[in-house]
Amino acid sequence: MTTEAVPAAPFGPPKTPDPQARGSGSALGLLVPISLAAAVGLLVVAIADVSARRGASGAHVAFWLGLLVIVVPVAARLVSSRPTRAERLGLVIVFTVALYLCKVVYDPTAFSFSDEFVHWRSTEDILASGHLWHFNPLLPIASGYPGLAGVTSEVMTLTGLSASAAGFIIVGLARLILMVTLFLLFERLSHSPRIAALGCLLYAANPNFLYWDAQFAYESLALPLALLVIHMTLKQNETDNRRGWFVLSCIGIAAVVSTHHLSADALTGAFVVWSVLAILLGRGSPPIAQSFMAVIAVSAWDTFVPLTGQYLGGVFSVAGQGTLDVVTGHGGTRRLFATGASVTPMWERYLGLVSVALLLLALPIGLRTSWRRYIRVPLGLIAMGLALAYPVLLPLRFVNAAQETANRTSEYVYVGLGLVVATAAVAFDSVRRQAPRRIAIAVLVILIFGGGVTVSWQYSQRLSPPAREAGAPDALDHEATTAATWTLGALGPGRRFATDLVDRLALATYGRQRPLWAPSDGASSWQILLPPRVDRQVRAAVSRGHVEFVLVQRRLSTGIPSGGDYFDKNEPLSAGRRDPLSPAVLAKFDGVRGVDRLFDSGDIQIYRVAALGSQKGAR
Amino acid sequence: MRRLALPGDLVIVLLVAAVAVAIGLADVDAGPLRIVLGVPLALVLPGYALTEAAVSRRAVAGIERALLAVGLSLCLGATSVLLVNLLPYGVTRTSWLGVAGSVTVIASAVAARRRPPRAERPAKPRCFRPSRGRSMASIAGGALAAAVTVLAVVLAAHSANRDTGRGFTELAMVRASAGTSAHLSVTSQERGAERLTVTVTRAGVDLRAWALTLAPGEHWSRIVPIAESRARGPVEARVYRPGLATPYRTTVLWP
Repeated sequence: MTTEAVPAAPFGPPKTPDPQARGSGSALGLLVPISLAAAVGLLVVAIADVSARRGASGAHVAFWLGLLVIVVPVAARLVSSRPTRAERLGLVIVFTVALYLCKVVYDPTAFSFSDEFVHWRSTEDILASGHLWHFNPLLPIASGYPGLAGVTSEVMTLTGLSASAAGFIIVGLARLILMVTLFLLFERLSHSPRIAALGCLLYAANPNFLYWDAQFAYESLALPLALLVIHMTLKQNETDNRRGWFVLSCIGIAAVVSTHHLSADALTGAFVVWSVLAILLGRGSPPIAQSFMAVIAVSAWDTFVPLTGQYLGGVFSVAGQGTLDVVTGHGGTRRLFATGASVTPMWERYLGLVSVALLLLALPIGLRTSWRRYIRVPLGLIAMGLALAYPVLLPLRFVNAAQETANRTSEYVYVGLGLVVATAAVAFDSVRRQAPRRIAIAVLVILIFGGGVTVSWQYSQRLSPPAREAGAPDALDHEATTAATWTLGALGPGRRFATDLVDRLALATYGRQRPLWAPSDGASSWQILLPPRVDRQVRAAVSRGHVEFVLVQRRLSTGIPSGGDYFDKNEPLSAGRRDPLSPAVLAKFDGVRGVDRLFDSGDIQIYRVAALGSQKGAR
Repeated sequence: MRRLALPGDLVIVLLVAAVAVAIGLADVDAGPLRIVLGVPLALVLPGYALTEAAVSRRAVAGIERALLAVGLSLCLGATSVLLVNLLPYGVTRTSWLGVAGSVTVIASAVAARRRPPRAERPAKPRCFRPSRGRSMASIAGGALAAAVTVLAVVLAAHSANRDTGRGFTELAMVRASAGTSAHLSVTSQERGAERLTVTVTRAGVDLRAWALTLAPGEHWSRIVPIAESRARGPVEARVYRPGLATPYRTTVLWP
C-alpha cells in the first residue's frame, strides 16, 4: 500500500494526512485506461460535430455519449479512495485536456465563437502595425487589454503558426494551468488530494467551462494566471525565497492586469480580503505587498484605459436596473432555456434544474463541513464566500438584463463552490468502504456536470453548425469568409461597413475592415439595413456613420437568428419577432442611382453606398 | 580553482533558445522545426529560466516546475508586449526574439550562479519504478490514447475543410484607372468545373463577353474599358450558367 505524500501547509487545520488518500498498487493506477476512454469519448464528440456539420440526425446523442465516456470513468475513479495523488492529478489533467479538445474539434481550423474574432482582430492589428492600442470595432475595450493579443503575436511571429493555431495552443496551456493550479490550491487548503481532484471536477461543471472559458478570449488567459499568482503568493510564505516569489508574483499581477479587467479586479479583491482576514484571524502572512501592487496596478491601468470604467459600469448598471425593474414589477422575467429561436429539449431543461437543485442541497452541507475545516484559513473563508455567492446570484438568471452578468460570474463562484461541495462529498463518504455511497456521489457529480453543460451554450450552437443551413446564419460560413477576404484585397483595409451581426465578424478579421459599432460611430447598421426603402433615414444614417459599403446577407430573409437580433442588440422589433426580414428589404439597394453593386456571390452582395450620404431625397 | 560548470538543464535551455533565435533571425524557411523550437522559446524557456533564477529548486518540484515554466512564459509575453511597443521598431519578430532570448539567457545565467556546487546538492530521491511489463503497457496505452486523440482532431479538421456546403461563384467589379475602366473578376468556389458566360453591358449595349470554364478554386479577371462607350447609364457585368436566361451573378457600376 502506497502512502500519499501530502504537502506541508503554512496554516490551517492540523497537518494530518487525509486517511482516505492512501493509494494502492501502481502510482498511476487506472490513469492510462481512463486516458484511453477519454480519447475515445473525444473521438465520439468529434464524430458528433462532423455529423452536425453534415446535417445528420443523432449528432446530439453522440455528443452526450462522448461526454459521458470522458467524464464517467474520471468521476468514478476520483470518488474512490484508492487512487494515489499522482493518479488524481493525472486524471485532472486528462479530463481537462479532453474537455478542452471538445471545444477544439468544434472547428480545429478556424475561430468559431464571436469573442474569438474580437481578440483575433486585436492580434492582427498588432502584427500589421507593430504597435498596440488600435481601435477594435468588434469590442473597443479589448484593445485596452493587449495581454492575450501580445502573447499570441509572439507565438505567431516566432513559430509562423496561424492565429487560430497559436490561440488554441495558448488557451489550451492556460486551461492546464487553471486546473493544475486549482488542484494545488484545493489540496493545500484541504490537505486532501481526493477533495482537490473532486473539487476540480466540480469546477468543470460550471456552465462556462466547456465552451465560454475555452475560447480564445482574454478571460481564458487571465483567470488561470490570476490563480497562479495566488499560488505563487502562498509559496512565498513557506519558503526562504521570499523575494524571488514576490518578484514572480508581481510579474503575474502585471500580466493579469494587462490582460483582463474583471480578472484583475477579482485578483485585487481576493488579495485585499485575504490580507484583512489574515490580520483579523492572526493566521498566515497577509499578502500586503501583493495587495498593494495589485491595487496600484489596477488603478493605474484604469486611469490609462478609461473605457474600463464605462464598460464595466455600463454592464453592471444595466444589470442592476433590470433587476430593480423585475423586483418592482416594472419588467418581466426571463424565460429559462429560451434564447431567440433556439429550443432546448425538455430532458436537458430538467437536467439543468436538477443540477442546480443538487448544488443548492449540497451547499449548506458543504459549508457546515468546510466551516470546521477552513474556519481559520483566510483563503478557505474566501472560498466559502464565493460558494455562498452562488444562491445569491442565481435569481439574476431570471432577469433579462442581468442573466449575462450572473452567467459570467460562474467561473469565479465555482472556485469556491467546487471546493465546498467536494468537501461535502468526501465527508459524506466514510473511511470504511461503502460502495453505494461512492456510486451515489459519482452519479451526483455527473448529474451536476451534465446540468452545467445544458446551461452552458445555446442548444442550437452546441455543435458545429450545418454547412449552408437554410435560415439566417448564426455562424460564419465559407461564403462569408471569402467575401470578407475579397474586400481586403479589392478595397483595402479599414473601410467602413454596415452589415449584420455575424458577417461583421468576418469583415473585421478576414477583411480587416471597420464595421459600424454604435454608438461611437454615429449610426447603427440597423438604421441602414432595416428600413424597407432607401429613404432619408437611410441616407442620413449613411452620412452620420460615414458608411462606405454595405454587405447584405440574403439568408437573413430565410429565418430569424437564434439570438433574435439581425444587426444590433438595440435594433427595434427584435423582441417577439415572428417573421424574418422581407427579401425586398435586403434588395433595396439594387437599382438605386449611384449605388454600385461591387460583389455578388449568391447569398452575399456588397454595395458601395458612400454616394447616398451626399445625395438628398428618397429613391 | 573551481571549475564553473553550467548545469545540464540550463545548457539544454540555452541551446534550444540559441538555435530558435538563430533560425528566427536568419529568417530561413525551417518548416516544422520553426514550430518545434519556436513554441518552447515563446512558452516554456523564459518561464523556466526565470523560475530557476528566482527560487530554489527544492521549493519547486515536478509538475509545479512545469506549471511555472509555462505560466511565467505566458506572463512575460503578456507584459513584455507593453515594453516592446515602446521600442522604435515596435512589435516585430526581431523584438520578440530579442525579448525571449534575452530573458532566457539572463535568467539562466542568474540561475547558474545561484545553483550550489554539485557536491552540495541534495541527493535526488529514488523514484518508485514499476516493473518493465507495466511500463511497456502504460507506454503502449498512452500512445494509443494519444493516437486516438490526434485522430479525433484530424477527423474534425478534415470535416471542417471539406464540409463547407454548397459551392458558389463570386463575381466582382471595381473601378480601375480613375474610373475609365473596370476590374472584373470571377472566382469559382464550386464543387466541380463550371462553364460560365460573362457579359458586360452598358444601357443594354454589349461591351464584352467571354465564355469560361473554371475549375474549383480557379480565378479569372480582366480589365474592361468603360469610358470609351457612348452609352450612358450603369455598367453591368453578369455571369450566366449554360441554358439559363436569368443571370447567375450580377454586378453594377455607376461611372
